[in-house]
This record gives sequence, C-alpha cells and structure tokens, in this order.
Amino acid sequence: MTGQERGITARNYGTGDLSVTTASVTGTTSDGLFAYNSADSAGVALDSSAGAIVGETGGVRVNNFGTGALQITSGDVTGNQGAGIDATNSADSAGVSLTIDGSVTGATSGVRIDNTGSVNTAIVNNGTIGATSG
Amino acid sequence: MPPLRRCVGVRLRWPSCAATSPAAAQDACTQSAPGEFKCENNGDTATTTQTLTGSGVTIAIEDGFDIDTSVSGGNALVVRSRGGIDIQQTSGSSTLTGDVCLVVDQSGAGDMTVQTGGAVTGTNGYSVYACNGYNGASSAGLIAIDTSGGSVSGSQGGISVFHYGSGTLRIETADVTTEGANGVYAFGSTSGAGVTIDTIAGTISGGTSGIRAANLADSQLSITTGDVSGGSASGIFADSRGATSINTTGGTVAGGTTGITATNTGAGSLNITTAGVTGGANDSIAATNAFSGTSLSVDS
Repeated sequence: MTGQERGITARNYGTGDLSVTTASVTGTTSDGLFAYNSADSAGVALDSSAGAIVGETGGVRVNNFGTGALQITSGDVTGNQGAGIDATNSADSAGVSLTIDGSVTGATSGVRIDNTGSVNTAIVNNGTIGATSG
Repeated sequence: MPPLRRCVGVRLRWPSCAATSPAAAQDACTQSAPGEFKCENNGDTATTTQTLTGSGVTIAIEDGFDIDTSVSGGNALVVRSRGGIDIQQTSGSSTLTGDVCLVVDQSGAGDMTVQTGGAVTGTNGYSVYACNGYNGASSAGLIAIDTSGGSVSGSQGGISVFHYGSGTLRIETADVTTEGANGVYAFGSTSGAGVTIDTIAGTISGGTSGIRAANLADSQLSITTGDVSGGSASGIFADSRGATSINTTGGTVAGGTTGITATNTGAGSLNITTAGVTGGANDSIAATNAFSGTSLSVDS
C-alpha cells in the first residue's frame, strides 16, 4: 500500500466508529496513516500489526474528537521526520489504548499521545520505542 | 449536471433512426415482429450501422453475428426504445466494432438489460454507451449491463452508463480498456435504487480513472474488482450518497493520482477492503465519510 503523499487518509464525520486495519503502508512524502474522527463520531480502532507503516513525515497520526475510545495496535511504525505514532484524543473522548508489538521509531518522538479526556491512557509496549532526534 | 448534458447531447447528435439494409450475405438484424429483432450470422461481417428502434425492443444476437464499421464509419449497433430494451447474446460470441460500438438509449418506462457475448470495440468513441431514462424520465426501471462474455475497448472511453430510472444499476464486466476517459463510468441519479459494479472477472484500465461511480441516490453503492488502473486520475473514484462498499481484494489498484478515492456523503457506512493499492501522485487510499454517514472502515 503505497501513496506518493499519504499512505492512507481516513476521515470520519459520521456518527459511527472509524476502523482502519492494515498490512504494510507507505506514505512517500507525507504520513503513513492519517485518521480523523469528528466530534459527531464514536470511537477509533487502528490495527497495523500485520505490517510495517512508514511515513516520510509521521508514521501514524490520529486525531480523535469522537465520544468513543481511541485504540491503536501496531507492529513496526516509522515516522522519518515526525513522530512514529502521534495521537490526539479530545476532552469529550473516552480513553486511549496503545499496544505496540513491533518497533516504533520517529524523528521527534517515538510515541506522542495527547489525551485531554478524563479517561486513562494505557500503553502496553511489547516492542521498542525510539526517537532519532527528539 | 454534466452527465445529463452529455447524455442528451449525444442523443441529439445521432443520426435518424432509419434502419440500414446490409448486403444479403452480410450479417444483419431483422425485425420479426414490432420491437423484436434477431441479429443473424449470414456469413460476412456487417459493415454498416445496425439501428434498431421501437416502443419496446428485444434483440437476440446469435453466434457469429459481427459488425465492423471501422471502414465505412459510424456506430456499430444503435438501439433506442421508449419502452424497455433487452439485448441478449443467445449463444456463442459476437464481435462488435464501430465508432461508438454499442449505443443503447431507453427513454420511456421499462428496464434495460444488455448482455454481450464477445469483443466490443469502439474505434472512435466509447465502446458501450447506455442511457436509461433522461431529462428526468424516472419511469425507466433497472439497467443491467453484462459484458463479461468478452473484452471491451474504446478509444475515448470504455463503458459509460447513465441511469435516471428508479431501479438498480448493475454493470458486470471482464476486461475493459481505454486510453481515453474512464474504463467504467456509472452514473446513478437520485431516482435510483443502488449501483453495483462487478469487474472481478477482468482487468480495468482507464485513461483517466479505471472505475468512476457517482451514486446520487440514498441507496447502496457496491464495487467489487480485480486489477484496476487509472491514468491521469484515481484507480477507483467513488462518490456516493448512500452506504458504500468497495472490495478490491481480487487484485491491485493503481491510480495516476490517488489509488482509491471514496466519499460517502449520505447515510450509512463506508467500507473499503483492499489488497495492494498505489497512488501515483497522492494517497493510496483517501476515504471520507460525511456527517450524515455512520461508520468508516478501511481494511487493507
């Protein structure tokens, strides 16, 4: 799965969930995977454990403004100029769950999570997290 | 609305409906009863346009019936009706070649069903151009185009279908190739009851998009493919006002810009399931589910 810009862009403004399941994904000049879930939406589930995600800027970038939880399960993820995984969860959203089963590497951050909601952030790291310049 | 203008424009450009009389030894379509035609294999390929009209038209194409107007010019098979159209390859295969190979125009009440049984080639235009109900004539019923019995190629476009009827729009193909516009183009109006495109049996290649579908009705858009490629635009471009399902696991999708562009601005969910997808200048997959929709799922 290769895009000259992003690998995958998924924007959900609907009332339901946003779900993205991938194998290998490459964003040649931008993010590997970008996902946006609106305030009218429910939760987000991203699962890239079946392959590597590589983005020239960020690896996985997700903004959840929905009322549901943000769940990320990853294998290898690389963000060449940004974060490996960059997740924003709004104040109206439920919690954040991140499970890493591979190597997550970014330039600025390996993993960056901004959860402004009142529900916990849970991280399970079964792999490695690293940043090359952050 | 561009598709409407195009549909009407082409219709006005067509010549009168007078049937031609090919030489006796050539293949020809003959009328056995009002609106009932049989396209027969008489030995030699028909070299002039076969134009068949009626208030309701039924056409049986027999094995070996061929048209080739590439020397004389003109379209191969032109069918117009104000009360439904049914074209069936009853046995074997036929090869149709013309400027626009197969022109089908149904402007009244009734269904349009077309099943070809061999190669369909548009040498100076689209290969298959079908319009079911125009200018708001939503009394038209369903439309079903099946070219899975042979390959389709057109210089300016592959299969182009405009549906203003109240029924479903279904397109089923094997290989479709064009260096002109879209490989397969499907337009379903607000009156429609759903759009289904199934190209799993072949490879789709378009000069702009491989497959482009616009579903303006609050009904299901379903696209199932094998290999698909687009030249200057997306591999698959889907714009739907209803629930949308795209499954390309039967092959790879490549676009000159985006691999798959899918937008659901109606009710229901947007679901995309793929194997390999490549975007030449943009994203491999760009999926947007609007506020009136429900869930968005991408499984690649």
